Amino acid sequence: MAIRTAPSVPRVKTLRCPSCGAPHELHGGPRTQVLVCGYCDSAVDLRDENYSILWRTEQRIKFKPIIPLGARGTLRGEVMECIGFMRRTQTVDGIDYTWNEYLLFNPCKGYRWIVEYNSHWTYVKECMALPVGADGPVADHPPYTWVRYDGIEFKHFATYNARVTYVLGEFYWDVRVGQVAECADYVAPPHMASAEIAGDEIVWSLGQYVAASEIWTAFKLEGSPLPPVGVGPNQPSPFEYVKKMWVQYWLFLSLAFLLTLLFTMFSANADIDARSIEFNANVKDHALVIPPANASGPQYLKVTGRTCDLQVTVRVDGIDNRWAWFPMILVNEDTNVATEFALATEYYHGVDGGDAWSEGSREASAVVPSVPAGRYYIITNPQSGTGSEPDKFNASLATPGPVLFKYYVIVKRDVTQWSFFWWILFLLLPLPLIQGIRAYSFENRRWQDSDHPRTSSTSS
Amino acid sequence: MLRFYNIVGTVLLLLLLLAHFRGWSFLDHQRNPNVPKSVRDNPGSYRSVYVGTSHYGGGK
Repeated sequence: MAIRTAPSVPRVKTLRCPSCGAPHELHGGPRTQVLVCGYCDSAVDLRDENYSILWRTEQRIKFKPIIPLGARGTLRGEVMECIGFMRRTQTVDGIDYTWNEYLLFNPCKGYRWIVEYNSHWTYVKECMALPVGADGPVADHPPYTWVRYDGIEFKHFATYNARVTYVLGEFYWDVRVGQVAECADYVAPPHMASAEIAGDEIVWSLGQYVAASEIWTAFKLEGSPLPPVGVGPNQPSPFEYVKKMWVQYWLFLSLAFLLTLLFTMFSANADIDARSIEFNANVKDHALVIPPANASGPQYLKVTGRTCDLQVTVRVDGIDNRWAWFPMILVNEDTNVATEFALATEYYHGVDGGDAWSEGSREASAVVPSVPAGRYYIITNPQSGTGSEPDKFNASLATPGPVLFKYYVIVKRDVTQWSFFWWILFLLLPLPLIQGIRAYSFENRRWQDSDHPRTSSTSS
Repeated sequence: MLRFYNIVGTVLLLLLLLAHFRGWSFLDHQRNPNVPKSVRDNPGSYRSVYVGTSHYGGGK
């Protein structure tokens, strides 16, 4: 909203409307030029000692300003008095969009404006210098992209013609109903820079978004404000923190990566046992103990050091179009506590339509959690088959049958698992992602009424 | 919201640290607190809870 300049005029404090005789107190200071009487809609020329009538119009609908004329309040540290009220309208595609403007005055501070549209409130003051565009200070028609003022870069929001549709109170320029000015708004929430062009003159003002509750408190208004409708052009986004949240996300992810990398580098990853075992066909019971009780080497899997994980890997060589299933029991010899788990491998291959294919994996691993130091052994009772059921034992056939495959059991302790890192990645992702989508949607709604909507609607 | 996110992130990092240090895992497993001593000499007598559960039987 632009601030107009005017020459000083004789100071008056009270007068009666020369048209209808209604009494008026004047609070607008020596620069006030026009008083619009709320009773008869006559504009009194305060520059004229005889208070001549400048114009008279019939404003059929009387609008009651939310901030009454004469109301005083302290807003953003400035004591201001409301002296004028006007409504301005922009017509787009035959639809009128109207907003309210309150003129405030303080003898020491000068003039300020409060602009209200759809219950979005902006506190406006005059720019002390010209904003700068790409071609330097903007002294004529404003650009269509951006301007910079006071270190803030404002994006062009809309250029439109504003028509005065209702006036009441004191003004420091010759205001008239029907007066049209070209306006251009630029936003950098919560700030807004506005240019008003009248003839060769361009006037810049700077606004800042104010919560309605702040207006109510400042002017001690009765009742409570209406909730804002839609998103205001300079309304601060409630999702400003999302950028910081993404920074935090990458920070947490980096730390998780670093921690996992450090554990990978410094974990023991120590071999406990590794052995190969043959799996014969037609054996009634494949159960065995690792290590075998009669082994010439260590009788137990010796786990030392702090409580950590134990990785058991089974790698099967020579398995061909069949599966192998390894139910396992890790038993602590000292406490008789058993941990049961299972590993599965399968490998299939063939030719289909002339194309060779293969699927499955010959290797499977399980990480047994939190295994304290001690002596352990593993019991496994593998099964294998080519269909949904394992191979059946046939007493009429030679037993044991030929070797179907050979499998290796490898036991390690203190093996770092990267799965935790991926969990961190996925668990921390939804919140910034959802809030980011909401922030994007909020900005879309802000810009949909601008000259630069982010999404365009199609009509057939 | 940012504070909540920071708390969640910090807690997850601490859990990650603890998980690595204590050797946690997401393994589907069962604990049996009292296995008879004799099982080592007769491994076929022990029936794992996983025996009889469904297993791979696939192939194209």
